[in-house]
Amino acid sequence: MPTARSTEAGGILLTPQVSRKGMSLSQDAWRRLRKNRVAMISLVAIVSICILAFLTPLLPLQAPDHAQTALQYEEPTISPFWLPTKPLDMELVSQTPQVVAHLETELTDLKLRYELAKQSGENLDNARRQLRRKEAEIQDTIQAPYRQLGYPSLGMLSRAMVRARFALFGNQCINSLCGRDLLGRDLLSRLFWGARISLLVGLVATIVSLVIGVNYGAISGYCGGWIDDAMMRFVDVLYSVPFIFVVIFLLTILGEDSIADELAYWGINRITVFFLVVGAIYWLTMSRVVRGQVISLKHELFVEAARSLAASQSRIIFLHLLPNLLSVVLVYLTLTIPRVMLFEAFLSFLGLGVEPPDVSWGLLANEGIKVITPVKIYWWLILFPSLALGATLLALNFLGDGVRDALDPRLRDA
Amino acid sequence: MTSFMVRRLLWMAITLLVVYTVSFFLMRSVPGGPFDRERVLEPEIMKNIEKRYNLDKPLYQQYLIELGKVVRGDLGYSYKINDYTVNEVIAEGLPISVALGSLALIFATTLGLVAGVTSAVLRGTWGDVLLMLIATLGIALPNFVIAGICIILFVFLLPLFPAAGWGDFNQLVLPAFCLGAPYAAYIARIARTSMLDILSQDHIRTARAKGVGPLRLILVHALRGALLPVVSFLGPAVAGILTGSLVVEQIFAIPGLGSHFVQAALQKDYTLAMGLVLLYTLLLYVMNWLVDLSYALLDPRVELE
Repeated sequence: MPTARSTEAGGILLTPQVSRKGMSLSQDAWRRLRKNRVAMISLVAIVSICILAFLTPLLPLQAPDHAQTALQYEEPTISPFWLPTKPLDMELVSQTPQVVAHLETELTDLKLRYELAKQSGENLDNARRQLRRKEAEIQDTIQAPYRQLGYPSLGMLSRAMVRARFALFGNQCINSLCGRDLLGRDLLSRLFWGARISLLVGLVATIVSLVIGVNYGAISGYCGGWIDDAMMRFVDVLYSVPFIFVVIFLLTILGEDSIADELAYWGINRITVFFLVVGAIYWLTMSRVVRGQVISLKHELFVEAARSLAASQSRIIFLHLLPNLLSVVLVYLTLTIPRVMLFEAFLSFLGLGVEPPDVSWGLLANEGIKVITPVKIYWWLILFPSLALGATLLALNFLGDGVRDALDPRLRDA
Repeated sequence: MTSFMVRRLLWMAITLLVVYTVSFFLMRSVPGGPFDRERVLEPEIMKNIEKRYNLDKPLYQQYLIELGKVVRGDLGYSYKINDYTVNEVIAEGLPISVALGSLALIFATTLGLVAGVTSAVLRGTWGDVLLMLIATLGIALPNFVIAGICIILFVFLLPLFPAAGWGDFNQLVLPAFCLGAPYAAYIARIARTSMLDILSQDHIRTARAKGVGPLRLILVHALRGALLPVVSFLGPAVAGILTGSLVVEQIFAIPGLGSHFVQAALQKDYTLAMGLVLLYTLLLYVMNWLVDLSYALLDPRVELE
């Protein structure tokens, strides 16, 4: 009791506010979460997996796509720990900017011609094809030194990290601790590179679903009446559609060569399509939860106060109601990420998700199961991807349960 | 009751129509027909093919013709499997998938209920913790991971079951287990929660006070009430088992609908894919409807509206 303590220690009487300081919901939740040992271990595990995945290009691993057919299906080995690797062609790297600059000037030229062709309507296809070919050439030039070594297409940051890796560790890399696959590629490094994609998909797709679900639910709940009815009826209809089948159908259609080309031109590759599609189906439950919450909140006094101060509808929804949904949203978020990752693994496993040369854990598990023959099994190709995926999903699930218990004790055991 | 049935039927029709329409137009909006092969066909042959699939008519006519056929239960020809109609593919694959799915569902409910009830009765002991840990594992692991581990264990280390194929009962056990395992885990968690809830209620205390034995108390007095949430989970579980069968059939080389669907998607066999999507929607709807009906049977307080 703060008052009792302050009377005891007479000196503090003058500043009772200090001892009466309350605990906010988030502080309380954090305190409760910290007491949950399983959830904390999971949290630490997830954070370290994320950091490792982010730093993958910097680690002294072999290149994930470096095929060495002579070493096909080599078993996991630990000695020697270090292997020599091919060096990064620094000369080629240093030349790249010049070549690219030269190509860029050609590109601006082609762009101009394309604009002209657009106006006149002549030779449009031809101009467009040339433009795209040139863009592809620029990308190829930039990627060439890395691709030689067996890296997939890298972004700017990853390229810098690969250069730093060669500067730091030289031409040494860790031996295949997890064995090698059909093409003699190192499974350990493929696991690390796969983690990047698997985690990214989980995160981004969840955020997409979050944005759609929260807005949809909030608007539906706040408006009420026939708008609410119609919007929720729509969700009901979507609920009864077996989504995975529709998504697979959608992905095959979007994967049609000509459409894929068109999308690629707009910078939308398969993974982006994937984010959007997966995000677009996981918002249903979110919208229902948020709607329920908004309905119970919208008759509260603070909303009344905002309305009497002539706040607009959208201001009330987005500034006054949404922040109050934070705990519900957070709980749901941590539980959705593993589900989305599971879904990605599932689709990649079927060969409909991430495409080579990109790797993800689902794809790796699929590769392992595909090479099962009646006489021989390459157990490491199944075990390690399964372990990586399983451990991450398990940790995420535990963390999700922990966050739920911490934020909303009423939901415990549900 | 009747109005419930009619309304459900109406919504099902609307859902199916929406799914059909969206997939039809998506399918037709893909440039290049399904017959763009490496070898260019003679124009006459092309014309015949187009006629067979009604591709020579304007789009809205195609839509109406196809819709009429679908309503009459004719899903058309498969684009890629020669001389097969979609109906024939379904007739061959559906019994296999249904057998696999029902066995998986039986696995899931029995295993799940037993585990859930046991851990509720043993609440707080290490048995409870262990069972719930296994359940969390089952939920977290994708079924292909479970399948991979099962294959390593039960096919290679302990040769109990064949690795793949279809035909006798032995070949069915492993796939059905892998398919049902995640749902067994969910059911175990749900059953535990609802069992704990029921066990703390008055009528259980009354029964105990009257001297009902522990086994009878749990199996007769508590289980019936605890079944409700489990039953309501069966709808989503059936949907999930249908989905999971895509992967499991692929791994164990089972010629059911799931592997047909994956092949159809990979080879861009649009008519087959669409037919199967419609079939799955229908199945899902019927299952949810059955679940609602059984809900009313189990709990007299529930009224269908």
